[in-house]
Amino acid sequence: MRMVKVDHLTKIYGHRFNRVTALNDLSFGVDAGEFVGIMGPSGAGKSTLLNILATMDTPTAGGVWIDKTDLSSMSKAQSADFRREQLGFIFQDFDLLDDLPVSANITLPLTFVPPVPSDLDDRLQKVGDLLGLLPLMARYPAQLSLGQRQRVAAARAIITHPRLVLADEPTGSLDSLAATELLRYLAKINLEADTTILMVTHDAFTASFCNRIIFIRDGAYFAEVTRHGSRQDFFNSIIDMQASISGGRRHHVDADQN
Amino acid sequence: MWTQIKTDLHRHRGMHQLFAIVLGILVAMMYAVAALIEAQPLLNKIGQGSNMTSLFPAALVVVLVVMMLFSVMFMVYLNGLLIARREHEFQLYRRLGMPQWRLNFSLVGETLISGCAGLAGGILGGIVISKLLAMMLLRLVDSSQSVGLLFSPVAIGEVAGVVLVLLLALGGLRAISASGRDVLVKAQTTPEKTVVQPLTASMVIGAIVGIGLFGWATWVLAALFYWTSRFTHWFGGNAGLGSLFVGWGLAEVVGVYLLYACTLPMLIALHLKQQRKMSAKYYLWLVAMYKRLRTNTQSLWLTTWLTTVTLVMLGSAAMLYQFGQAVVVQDVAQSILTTQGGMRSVKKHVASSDVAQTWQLPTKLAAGRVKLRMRNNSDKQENTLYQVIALRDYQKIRRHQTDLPHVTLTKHQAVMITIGQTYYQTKGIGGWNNAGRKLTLTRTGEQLTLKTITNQFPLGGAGYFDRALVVSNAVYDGLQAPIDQLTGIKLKPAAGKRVESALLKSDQVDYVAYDHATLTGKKPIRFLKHASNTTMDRDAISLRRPDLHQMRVVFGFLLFIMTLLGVVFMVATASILLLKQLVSGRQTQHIKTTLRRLGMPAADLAHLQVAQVVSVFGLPLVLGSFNAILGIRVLQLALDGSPSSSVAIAFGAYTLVYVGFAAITAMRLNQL
Repeated sequence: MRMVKVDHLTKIYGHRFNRVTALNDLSFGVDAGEFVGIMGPSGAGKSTLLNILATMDTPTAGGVWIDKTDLSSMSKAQSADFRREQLGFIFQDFDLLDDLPVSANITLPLTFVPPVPSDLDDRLQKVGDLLGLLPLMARYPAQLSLGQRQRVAAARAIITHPRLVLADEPTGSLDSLAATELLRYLAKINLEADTTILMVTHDAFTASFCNRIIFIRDGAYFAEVTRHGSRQDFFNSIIDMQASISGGRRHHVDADQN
Repeated sequence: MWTQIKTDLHRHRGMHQLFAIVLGILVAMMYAVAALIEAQPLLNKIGQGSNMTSLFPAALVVVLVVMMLFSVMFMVYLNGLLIARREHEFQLYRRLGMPQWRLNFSLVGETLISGCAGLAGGILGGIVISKLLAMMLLRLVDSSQSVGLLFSPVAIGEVAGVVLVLLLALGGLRAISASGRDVLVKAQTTPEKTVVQPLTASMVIGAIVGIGLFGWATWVLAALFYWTSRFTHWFGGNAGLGSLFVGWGLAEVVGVYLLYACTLPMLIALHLKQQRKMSAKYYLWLVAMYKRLRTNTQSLWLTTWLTTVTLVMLGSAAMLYQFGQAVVVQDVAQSILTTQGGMRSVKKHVASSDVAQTWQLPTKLAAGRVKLRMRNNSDKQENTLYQVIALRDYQKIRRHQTDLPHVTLTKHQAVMITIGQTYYQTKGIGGWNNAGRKLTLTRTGEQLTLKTITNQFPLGGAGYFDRALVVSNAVYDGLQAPIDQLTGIKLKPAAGKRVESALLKSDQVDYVAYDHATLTGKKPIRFLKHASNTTMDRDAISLRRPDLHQMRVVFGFLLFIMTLLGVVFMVATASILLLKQLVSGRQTQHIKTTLRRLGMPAADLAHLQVAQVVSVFGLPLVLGSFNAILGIRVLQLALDGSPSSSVAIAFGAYTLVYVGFAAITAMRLNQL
């Protein structure tokens, strides 16, 4: 089943004499249960794409459908409902509330609109168990390592059972050990909770945990790489593709054929 | 250098605007008072008819000095708050190697520029409000004098001189705060204080001590006379009073601080234990309040005291103003109150065509003995003189003097009328009253039961030597005692001034014997021609309107002064709260963004913000008003249960302006 459909998406910033085309006729799709990475050099339009997918920005032309819901037809209030109920977010800088303990940070989205779900404690227990956070529930963000903080953000993203989790450079602030640990957890979420994940990254190592990578350049679709074999092979293919982007060629790559 | 100053002025325009506006308001108030001091002819005119001509300028000078001192202290405090927000910027400049002298010059320069803008605006504003203030003063002191804008170069010089010195000092303080070595090292934030902590022993002890101290201080104010007698009993007269005052002051000051620092945060922490069952809006509000209480304890404490002091000043002055009027009305119910002794003069100057209405009140003079419970909780036997009034005559006067209380009596009941009503009759904690006490008329041996005690005299207290007694008609008719006739006259408006100025010259006084033998009933009561150690006296003629004017001049001026100081204190209170809210609003901007991203409904987010503003503004207002009401209640008791509707008006006006500031804060926060 198609979870995300991006159709001829264009986003132009600025005014008549100083236009910046952040996204240029971009189209692609993501199926339910996939773990997809979006890669591209700085300024390729990755963050703009993520903001539009997250209903925090609107396109100039084209459209986005998430689970057959047209995002462009939503009011602000509907967008907020949609973000709360259908999406989960993991940001580079965690976006945790420092004054709240881990447990309250995780359950926060479930308490925005009453009634508070009766199975709140069960859900907290489950995501805490999945992400190894159970011993940390009473702590505050400042008392956690960066990796632990990002796991709290991941737990917050999935406790609402969202259709889609959007991750924006989730390992950007982490050291390699913490990054690897987090990515393993994300892969686990993808497999065990059957959650579709769309992750923006510029790091090939991070991307190698995905099933498929879509490359964009100058706001347009450039190529994509799909994982068929080992993660090492997939990583090599991604590195090759990054080199190609710099070289300027546009082609479709299947990892196993390279 | 100039570019640097210009850039900084532009980048921190919000801060500079606030600085200039607050300074401008303070300068405007100071200028208006200084200009009023310089307007000698106006003050002389206002003081006419009272003995206070020289007192007015002196009192205004004191007010100006208090204002200046307060403004200096407050601007130093505000300056500190504003500059603390720019630490990061100074850090950057210093790290990039900007010379210290350059940074100092630019800081002094921008302080002078924004300060001078405030000074100029303030003086212009001051010239405008000087007329309003003068009009307000004239109105309060019952004067019909006209007044224009008050322009005084001397006042401008005085205020500008003080403010320029202040600005240089503030600029210097900014430079000092940007020159420390620690500016180069990034300060680590300590999150421990802001997050909800598990309850520690020190917090629980602080919370309990806070409630205890505040509760006791409240009890002292609610039952002041009980505690005064306790302390004087324990420690002796003056030492007792001194220790009570010091103890109470410390309990209030420390108690309020601990309420903010420990008690309220502890209650929130206990409540938050069930956090997952709450809606996010409520939970986040509680967490934010905990944080504010723990991090802004000092400013909440300070604003609570500023609110208390302002409300006590405004409320007491308003009450005294109303009391001044009420006391005259209580003293002389109609235009003229005269005794038999004063009737000759009255007849000479008042033609029958001048009179709108006349009331006659026959009374009988009798000595009485009664044992009464005092406010210090002890019984005291009192022998004094009573003017006895028949119930029928009392009712007759009450038809026109409607503030007299309704009275019904059985044959041997009596109502005592005395000016010290609350001295004998107090309600509330430790209260008592003297209903049911037996009063004996010493000459005849007649025994009466007191039904109640009031302080409203028929025709006005000025016609009585000491107390009055309303008795049943049968008791009055049977009482053998000398008659003392009182007359109340209501003049026609046209006759008022002429008759009053003629009668004002009369200084006739009635004397009555007040020796032991008379009071114990061994001798009959008799009028005397001259004063001695054993006589009581009263004015034979009392006039209402000149007394009213005198009261308005005195208490109107007091109210004016208190209003001036109240405005200055209020500006300080509100700007501290506004600034603190804006600072924390900016600091928590990222929280708003996160909540929005996570899909918190926009309306809930706005409610959360408003709830925070209301709570932070509301806490000092509620606690400050509570303290102020208790304080004013003490004054009210001291003034024998003076009317208090004017206090409600003063409180209402303060609250209205305060709510206005809260609304501005909420709007500014929404714009962030």
